[in-house]
Amino acid sequence: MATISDLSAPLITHIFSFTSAKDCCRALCAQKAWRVALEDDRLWKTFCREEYALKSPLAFKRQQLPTYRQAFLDWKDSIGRYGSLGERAAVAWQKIEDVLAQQHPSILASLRPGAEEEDLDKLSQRLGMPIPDAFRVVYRFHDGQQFAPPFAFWGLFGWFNVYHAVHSTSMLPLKKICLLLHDDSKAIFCSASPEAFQEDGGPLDRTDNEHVGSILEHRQMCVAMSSGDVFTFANRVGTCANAGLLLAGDTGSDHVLRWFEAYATALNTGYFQMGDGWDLVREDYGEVEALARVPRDAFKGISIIPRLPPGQVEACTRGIKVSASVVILPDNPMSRSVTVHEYAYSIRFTLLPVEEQLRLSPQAQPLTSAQLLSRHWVILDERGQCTDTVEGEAVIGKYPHLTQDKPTFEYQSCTNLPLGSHGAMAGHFTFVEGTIANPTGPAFDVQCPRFYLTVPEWIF
Amino acid sequence: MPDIVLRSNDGADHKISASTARLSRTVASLLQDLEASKGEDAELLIVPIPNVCNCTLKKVLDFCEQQRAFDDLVRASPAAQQPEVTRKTQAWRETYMKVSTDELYHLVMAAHYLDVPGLLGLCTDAMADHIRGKSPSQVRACFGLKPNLSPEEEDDIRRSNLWALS
Repeated sequence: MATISDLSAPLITHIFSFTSAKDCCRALCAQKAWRVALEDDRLWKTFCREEYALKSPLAFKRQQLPTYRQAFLDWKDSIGRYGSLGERAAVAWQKIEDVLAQQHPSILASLRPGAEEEDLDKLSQRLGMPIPDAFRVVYRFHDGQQFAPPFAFWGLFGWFNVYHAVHSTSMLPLKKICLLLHDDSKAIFCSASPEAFQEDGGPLDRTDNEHVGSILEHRQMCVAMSSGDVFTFANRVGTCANAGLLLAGDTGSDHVLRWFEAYATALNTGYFQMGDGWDLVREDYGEVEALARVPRDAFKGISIIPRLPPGQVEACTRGIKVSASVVILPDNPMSRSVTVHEYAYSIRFTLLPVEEQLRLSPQAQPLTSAQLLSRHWVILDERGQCTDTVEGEAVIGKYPHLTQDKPTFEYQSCTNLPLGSHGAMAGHFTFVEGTIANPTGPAFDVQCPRFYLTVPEWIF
Repeated sequence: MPDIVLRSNDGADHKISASTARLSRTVASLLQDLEASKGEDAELLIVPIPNVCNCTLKKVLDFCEQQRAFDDLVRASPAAQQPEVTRKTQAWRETYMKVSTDELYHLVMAAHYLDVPGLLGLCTDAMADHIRGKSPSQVRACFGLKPNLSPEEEDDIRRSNLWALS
């Protein structure tokens, strides 16, 4: 008769790689002879990767450890009590950190070390209520962001602008988390309000504060302590009735973590990309000396204008590509109405390189310079019926001139729809070849594909 | 092509095709060595398999034959029939894996030694099924193990693995 003791240690290791770390530890209590097999570090490397997306033997606080087994046990000791919520938070944070390490190390550096359990207990005492586990575990990895100036565009939860209002939403450290006025079960954990960081200094130094601070709006997000649901909220609207728009339809105790995971995935897949706000700021303030002292990096951050379908649609006419994206503004401070959904849309024109134009249509004469003359919009309701048309010169008062040297122009505008309804916009832009003053050919229409104004699955 | 014969440790011979033989990476490399030493004209290559008894070797070769037939079928079938082929194979494998624990030990050791990835996966998965979610005493009962830790040792291990025991 063969017994399991006849199996070699490598074979036992192999078999256990199909189980879990928990099964291994239990089996260790069952059989002395399995010790060598079960302490094989290749096994623990697998568990580290599978459970915590860990690529090297790092402790929870990121110091290097000699073995994966030690690393695994340290993670288990640190966030094991959260079970699968911990594993999910680890994967989501890893996605975010990977992107930041490559594309924006300054934002990565702004993330504070993780909060300790005692810190979370203290917050719970301060707020006078228990904090949902799905929320605690996110803070176990990073206790929000810290802001040594400059940070104008460095909010972890991204920025976007409508006209000259910039929203850059930061993750607050625990000590800054406070209950929402008028609704004492919801705690604000994300904010674009510069006052939220007063103790740590403003976005720029004191004199510059006025400049960049004035274009920051008070976008805030909060989590309901009883249910774990995430809401967004505009400080300026500030009435109880409008205190929150739930960020997704499906609620549940892990809502805040699912929202966080969805954000991490959007960042990791390129749905959101880095955006540069330099032109925007310079346009507002000109060549202000104070701005020149601020590193260029300070004006770059995660843009939450979608850059992939379904949030972005694209069409190309005669060498000019039009990309249209939509961001819902549940908290647009310019809108004081509680009966409409405000949507920002971003239109980007790109004059394609000559080679690409030739590849797309070899017969056509490539376009090297074109200037926008007018816009033509059709607004559609949810049945696809036209409800309004807009004809006008220019876009946001500008006649962008696209050339091979400066091939891109992007602008944002907004529109609104009654709460609960949805619709779409489509249209075309009339361009002239060359410039309006010196046309080199006839005017032509560039199509803008239909884009939908609907409440997306998640709002960031 | 020479005939290939696998000889079990109790002296039974199994004649198999080259394509079946190569499903075992161990046999494939032994064959390479044999071909090198005997030359290309050899009519018969006998591969001794010292670690595997006749009964288990036969069972392993059953798997290899079926795997080869399955691979051929997949190559020959149009895409629309692939799910049906997969379903048939899974059904065959389920029947194939209805073995006693004693047979399972022999089979997993043979699959490991002969390095047949598909079979090893099937066996380890079957064994892992006996382990997943079980308490230490359930694992012991399942594999017929006697407690061999001293109370002090067991206490020590339990204390350092408390998270897994709750």
